[in-house]
Amino acid sequence: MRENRKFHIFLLFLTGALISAMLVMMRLGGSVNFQEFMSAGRVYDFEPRELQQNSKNWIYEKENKGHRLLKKRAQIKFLLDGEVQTWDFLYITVAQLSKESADGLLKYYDGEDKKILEQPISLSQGNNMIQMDSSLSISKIGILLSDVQGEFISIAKMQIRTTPSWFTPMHFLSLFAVAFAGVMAMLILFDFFVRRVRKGRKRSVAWVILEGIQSGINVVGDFLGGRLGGRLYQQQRESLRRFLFSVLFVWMMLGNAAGWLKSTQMYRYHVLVCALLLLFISFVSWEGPLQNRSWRGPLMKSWLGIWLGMILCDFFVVRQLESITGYAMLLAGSVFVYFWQNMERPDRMLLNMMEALEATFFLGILYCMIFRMKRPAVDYNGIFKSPEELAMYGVLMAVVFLVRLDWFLAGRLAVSGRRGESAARRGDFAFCMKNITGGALSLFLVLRSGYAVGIAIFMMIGIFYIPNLAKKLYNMARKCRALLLSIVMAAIFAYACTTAVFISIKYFPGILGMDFKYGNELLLTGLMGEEQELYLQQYPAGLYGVRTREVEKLPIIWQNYGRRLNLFGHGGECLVFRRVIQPYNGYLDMAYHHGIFILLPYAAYQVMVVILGIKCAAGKKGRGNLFPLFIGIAYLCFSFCANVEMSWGHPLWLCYYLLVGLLGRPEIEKT
Amino acid sequence: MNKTNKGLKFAILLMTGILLSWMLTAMYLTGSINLQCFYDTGNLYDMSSGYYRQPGIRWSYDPAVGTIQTEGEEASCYFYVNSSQKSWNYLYLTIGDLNKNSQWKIEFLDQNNELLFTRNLEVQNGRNILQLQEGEIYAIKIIVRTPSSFSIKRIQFREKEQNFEWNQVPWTFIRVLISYVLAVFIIYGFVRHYKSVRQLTPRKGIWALTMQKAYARMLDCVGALFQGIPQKGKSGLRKLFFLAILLIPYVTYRMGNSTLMVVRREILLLAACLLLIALMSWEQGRQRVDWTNPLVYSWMILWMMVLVSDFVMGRTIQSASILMMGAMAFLYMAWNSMKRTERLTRDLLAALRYLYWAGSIYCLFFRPYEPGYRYTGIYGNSNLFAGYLVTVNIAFLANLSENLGKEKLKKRVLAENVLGLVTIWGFLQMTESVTSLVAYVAEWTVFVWGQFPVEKRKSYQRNLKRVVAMSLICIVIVGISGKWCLSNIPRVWEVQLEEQERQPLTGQNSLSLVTEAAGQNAAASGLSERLRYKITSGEWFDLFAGRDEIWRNYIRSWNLFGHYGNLESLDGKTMHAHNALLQMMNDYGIFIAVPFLCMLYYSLKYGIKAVFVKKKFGLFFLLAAVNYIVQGLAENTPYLSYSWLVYYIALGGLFSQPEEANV
Repeated sequence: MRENRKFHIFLLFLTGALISAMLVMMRLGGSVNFQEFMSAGRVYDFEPRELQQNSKNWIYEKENKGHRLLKKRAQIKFLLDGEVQTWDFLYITVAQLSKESADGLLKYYDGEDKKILEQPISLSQGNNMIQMDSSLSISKIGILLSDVQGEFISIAKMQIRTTPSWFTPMHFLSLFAVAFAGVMAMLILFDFFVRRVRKGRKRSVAWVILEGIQSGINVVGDFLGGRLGGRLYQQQRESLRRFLFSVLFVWMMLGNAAGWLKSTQMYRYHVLVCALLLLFISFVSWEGPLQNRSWRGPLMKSWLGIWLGMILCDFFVVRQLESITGYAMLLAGSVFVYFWQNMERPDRMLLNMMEALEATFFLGILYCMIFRMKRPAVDYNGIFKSPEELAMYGVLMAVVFLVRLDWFLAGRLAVSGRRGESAARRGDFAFCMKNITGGALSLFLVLRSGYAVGIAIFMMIGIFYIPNLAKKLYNMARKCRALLLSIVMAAIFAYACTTAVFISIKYFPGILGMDFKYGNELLLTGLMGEEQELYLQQYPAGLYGVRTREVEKLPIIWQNYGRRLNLFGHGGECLVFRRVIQPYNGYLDMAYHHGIFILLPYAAYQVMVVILGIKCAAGKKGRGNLFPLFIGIAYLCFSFCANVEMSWGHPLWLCYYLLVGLLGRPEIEKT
Repeated sequence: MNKTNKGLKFAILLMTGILLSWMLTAMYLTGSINLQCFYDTGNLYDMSSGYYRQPGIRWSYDPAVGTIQTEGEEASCYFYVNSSQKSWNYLYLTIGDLNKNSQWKIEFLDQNNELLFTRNLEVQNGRNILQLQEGEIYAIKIIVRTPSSFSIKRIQFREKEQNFEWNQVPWTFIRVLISYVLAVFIIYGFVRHYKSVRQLTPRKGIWALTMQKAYARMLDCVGALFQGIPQKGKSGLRKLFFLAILLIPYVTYRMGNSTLMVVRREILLLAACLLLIALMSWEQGRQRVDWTNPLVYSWMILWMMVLVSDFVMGRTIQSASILMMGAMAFLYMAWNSMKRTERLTRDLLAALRYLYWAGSIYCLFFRPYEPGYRYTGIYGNSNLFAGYLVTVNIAFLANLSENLGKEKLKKRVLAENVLGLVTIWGFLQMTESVTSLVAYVAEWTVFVWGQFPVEKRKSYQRNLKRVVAMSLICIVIVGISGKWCLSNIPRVWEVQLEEQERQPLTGQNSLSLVTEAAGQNAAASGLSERLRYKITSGEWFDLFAGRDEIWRNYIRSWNLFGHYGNLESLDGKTMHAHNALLQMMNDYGIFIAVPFLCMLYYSLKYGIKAVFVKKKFGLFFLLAAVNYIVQGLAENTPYLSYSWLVYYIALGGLFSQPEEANV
C-alpha cells in the first residue's frame, strides 16, 4: 500500500513535469500545437564536422578549435539539408572571434550552385541571428568575411530554420519553474478531488479490467498449458525452456543483424516468431491450474502502461513498426509474465533464461572467431551491427556470469557452514571455468567495442559486485581452499581463452577468408586528424565506410528529437544531418515515437525495477538475487546515451522487460 | 456421427478442393508459382463493353442484332484507354459475327491525341493479336477500310502474352480436382486407421468451448461493474449505445475522408459501444450457453483467417477481425447469457427505427428531391441509401410480425410500423436501386412466409385487417404529400448541405454505371422499364450493369492472403467488387470463401429454425441474413455498412444452439 502511495506521488510529480514541459514548449513555439509542441518548422543543424571543414581561405586549426582566415576576403560554403528550399533565419554561435566584429556577406546559392543573392552581415562573438530572404530557394550558403586577414574565428554552432528560435536553457527553465508550480497545484487539487470522489470504493475499473484480462489468459492458458506443459516432467520442461529461450535469443540477434528491425515488410514476421516462442515457453511452463495474481503493483501497472500507451498512439498517428512491439508484448509478454508468476519456483525460469543466454553467448563467440574480424583501429561490432549493441550485450552477459558465480559461491559457502559436508563438489572447476571465462570474454567484448558508456557501466557494476565477491572469497579462503584453488585455476584458463579469442578475431576470419559483413553496419573509429592520416598511409582503404566517433554530435541529435516532441508520437525516425540518425537516448526515443506521456510508465518502470532490484538483491524476496538490480542499473544508464530501445532485437531489451515476471508482486488475487 | 455432420464435412472439402484446384490450375497454366496472384499473366486492361456500342464516323451500333455496321470506306471509331497504366505490350482484339475478312488500320494515340504508331491488321473472327511498340497509349482509333458488319467481343491490353488456351482449363482443372479427391481419400483412410488403432475419441469443439469460457470469465469479472443498473435503465442504455453504433458509420461516411486514422477511431468507438452493451447485458451465473455448432466454428475460423490475412497484409488496428474477436464476441456471449434474449433484440430494433425516423426527418427538412434524379436521401449515393432503407425495413417487418399475433395491437405500434414500411417503399422507389429492390422483395417474401406458421386466431385476423386499413391510409397520405414535401420543404431553407452524386433517373441522359448499363439507346423510363430491358437484352453486361466485368477482374486477381485495397476494375476506376463473397476473397484470400459460405448457410438455416420454433423476434434473424446475402450478391456490403452491421449483430442471437451441441 505504501509502495503504491509513493509510486503515485512519483507519478504525480512526473506528470506535473511533463505537462509543464509541454506547456513551456508550446509557449516557446508560440502556438497550441499538439502535433509538435515547439512548432519549430523546418530546422537544419549543421554537423560539427561541417563546421570544421576547410576552404581556400578558412583553415581549421584543431588545437584552437577554430578557423584561421588567410586572406583579406575569406569565404566558406556550407551545404544545407540537401534540398532546394527557402529558409528564414540563420543562427551562428561564434565561440571566439579575434576582433570585435567581422563584416561580410551572406551568399545564397541555388540548386545549380549559382549565386543568386548577397546579403550584408556582421558577426560578433556570441549568438548571431541573421534574417534571411525567405523568397529564394537555396541549396547552399556562403559566408564571406572582409578585412579579416590573419584573424581567427571559432564557430561553435550553426543552425538554419524557417521559424525564429526563442529557446535558451535559462528561458526554458524560468518558464518551466512557473509552469511546474501552477501545474502541480492543479494536479494536487485534482488528485484531492478524485480521492474524495473515490472514497469508499473498493475496486477501481482498471483493477476489474486487469482481473478480466487475467481471467481470459487463465482459461486459455489452462487449456493450452495443460496440453503442453502438463504432459512434461519438470526436467523436460526445463530443457525445453532452455532450448526455446536459446532459439528466441538467436532469432532476435539474427533479426537485428539481418536488418529486419527496420524493415516494414519483415519486422512483423520477426516479432511474430518471437511472440510465438515466448507463448510456447509460457505454455511449456504450465505446472498446474493457473490462478490470478495481483497486477496492481506499480511495476506491473507501469509495464502494462508502456505497451498500452504504444498501442493507443495507433489511433492518432499512422505508424509502420512502432506499435507492433506493443501488441506483441501485451499479448505474448503478459501471458509469459502470468505463467512465470504462477510458477512454484520462479527462479527456475530465470535460471533457464540465463543458461540459454550462456549457451548462445559461447556460440556467438565461436561465430565471431570464424566470421567477424576485428579491423585495426575500428571498433568491434561482434555479432551485432554497432559497437554500442555489442557493449550492451557484453554488459548483459557479464551480469549473467557474475550472478551465476555469485549464486554458486553463496551456495557453496552455505553448505560449508554445515557440519560434515564438504563444500567442494565434482564439476565445480568446470562451472567456475565457464563462468569466469564467460565474464572475462564479456569484459573483452565490452572493451573491444570501444563504447565508453558500456565500459563505464561495466565498471560500475564491477564496483558494486567486487565487495560482495571479495567477502565471499575471503570466507572461502578460510573455509574451502580447494574451491578457491578451482577459481584461481579457472581464472588462469579464462585469461588464456580470452587471449585466444583476442588473437583469433583479429586474424582467423581473414586467414579463412570468411569475414562476414552486415548491410548497414555502423563502423566507428576513434582516430582523428594526424592519427587518421598516419593510419590511412598504412591502410589506404582501411577507413572506407567508417565514421568517426563524435561525442559533440549527441547534444545536437537530442535537440533535434527534443524539438519534435508531441502528444502521440511520430512514425519513422528523425532526419538529422541529412540522414536518419537514432536518438541515442531511450527517453527521447520513446517520447518521439509514442508521445511525451509514454515517459510516465517508462520512467516509472525503470525506477521500480531498480527499487525492487535492490530489495531482491538484499535478499528479502529473491534470496540475494543481483540479476534484476544489475540489469535495471545497466538499462537505466544505457537509456541516457544509447539506443537501448531495440524492440525484439536485443537480449538485454527482452531480459529487462521480462523481469516483471520475477519482480511483479506474485500474491494470489483474492476475488 | 450424424448425417448433417457428414454433409458439412463433404461441402467443406468440396469447396476447398474447388478453390485449391482453381489455384493450382491457374498457376500451372500460367507457368508461374505466384501466391500473390495465381493467374499471373501480368497486368491486363479490358476496355468496358459499354464503349463497344458507341457510334463513330460511318460507324454505328445496331442494338437489335448487337453488331456494328460500317458504311463506306475508312469508317472509324475512337476507344479511350482509361486505365492508370498506359504502356502495354499486346492488344487482344476479339471479334465476332464478321461477315467477311477485312483490312483494318489501328492508330495508337498519345495524350494529345497525336499518332504514336499504327498497325495494319487482316481481321478475322476470333482473337486478333497485335504486338505494340513502346509508348504511352491514351486512345486507339480503329479504322475499317471496307464496309462490313461485326461485333467487338473484347478489347484487351496486356503486359504479357497469354501462354495457354482456355480450352486447356477444364481438363487441367478436372485432373487437379481428381488428384485432390484421391489425396483426401487417402488421408481420410489414414486418419480413420490411426483413430481405430489408437482408439481415439477426441472431444469435439473443445477449442470453441475454451474460447466461450474465456469470454464468459472475462465478462464475469468486468460485468460485475454493471450489475447494479436496473433492467429498465439497461434497456435505455442499450438502445442508446445501439443507436451510437448505427450512427458511427454514418458520421464517418459524412466526414468524407476514410483515412486510416478515421477507420481506426471508428473501430475503436464501435468496439467500445459493443463492449459496453455486452457488459450491461451480461447475466452472471447463467450456464446455458453452448457454442459448439457449425455457425460458431465457421464464424471463428472466418475471423481467424481474416486476422492472419490482416497480419500478412500489414493491417493492424483497423482490422475488422479485432472488432469481431475483441468486442462482438463479448456481445454474443452476453446476449446468449440473457434469460430473456428478446430484450436485446427489441432494443436493437428500436434503435434501428429511431435511426430511420431521425433520417426521415433529416431528409424531409434538408434533402430535397430533384425531379429527374435518383434520390440519395441521407447519403450522397442512391445505392447506399437504398441499402440502408432495406436494412431498416427489417426492423419494421420484424416488429410488425411480432405484434400481429398479439391480442391487443397498440395503435402507436401499428401506426409507427405501417408508416415506416410505407415511407420506406416510397423512398426506395425514388432511389431506383435494383439490388435493394430485390432484397426488399426477398424480405417481404420471407415476412409473408413467416406468417404461415402463426396460428390463425381471431385477433391475428383482426390485426391484419387493421394493418391493411392503416396501410391504405398511409399510402394515400404519403403518396399524395410525400413527394411534394420532399420537393418543397427543404427548399424553404435553401440549405445545400453537401455535394451529392447526381444520378439521373432511367431514360434521362445517364452517366452512372447502372443506368448506363441499362442502355442509353433503350427508350426506358422508370424502374419497371429498366428491369424489363435488363432481362430482355440478352447481354450479361446489361443484366448485371457492368458488374460482370468487375467480377472477372476480381477473379483474375485471386490470391492466397488477399490484397490491401480494392482493384482497378471497370474503365480504369478503382472500385469495390460489387459482391460480398468476391470482396472477401479479394481482401482476405480465396480460402476465406469456405468459412464465409458456411457461415451464410448456417445463419440462414438457424434463422429459419428460429421462425419455426417461434423464437421471439425470430423473423429478425432470418431477415437480417436474407438482406445481407441478397444485397451482397450484387452490391458491396462493405464493413460497417448497415446490412453488414445488422447481420453480424444478429448472428449473436443464433450463436447458442444447445440442441446442436457437438454436431
